[in-house]
Amino acid sequence: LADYSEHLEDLRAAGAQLVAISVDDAARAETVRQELGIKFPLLCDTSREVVKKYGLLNSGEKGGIALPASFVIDRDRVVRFRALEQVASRINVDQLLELVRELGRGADPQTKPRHRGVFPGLMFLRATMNAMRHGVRSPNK
Amino acid sequence: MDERHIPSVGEKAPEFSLADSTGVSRRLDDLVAGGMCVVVFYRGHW
Repeated sequence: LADYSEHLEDLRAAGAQLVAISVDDAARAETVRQELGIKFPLLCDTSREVVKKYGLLNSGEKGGIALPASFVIDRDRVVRFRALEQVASRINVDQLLELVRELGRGADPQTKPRHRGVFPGLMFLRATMNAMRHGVRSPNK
Repeated sequence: MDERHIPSVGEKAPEFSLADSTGVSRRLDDLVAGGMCVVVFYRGHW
């Protein structure tokens, strides 16, 4: 959370909101928020409903807690990026920020060959979205 | 619904509405309205 906190302004500048979810109750989450000086919302899923909906309930631990994961979700509520910390190495927030900036710009994939190997699924998705977008939006805004 | 399914890239993320630690209700649809939302799940302190 501290990593994300450090990058909050950058993420916002790139057009992204940031929220974090755990099964902690409000009192616990508020303590964490104040201790870490976090300036984004900490959401409390005490019923575990949302954690379950996202397939992230680790029921093996203490009544069930969330498996660590991060998602970048666009305005159509489509997942544009996903990182699961139990399988991938620890999330690199710099990398995530870069991606959010790119998505925010609606960057042409060809100008950013750097991500090609890293996010092949995303490249495909972006190409598809661009194709769709051209049908509904004027290219000169 | 399959509770083991984690939404992957290109799929629709499940809608949610949760109160934050200060009691303010936050809906995913509102959060993404400005463009994007980064949603982080963390273990918490239980």
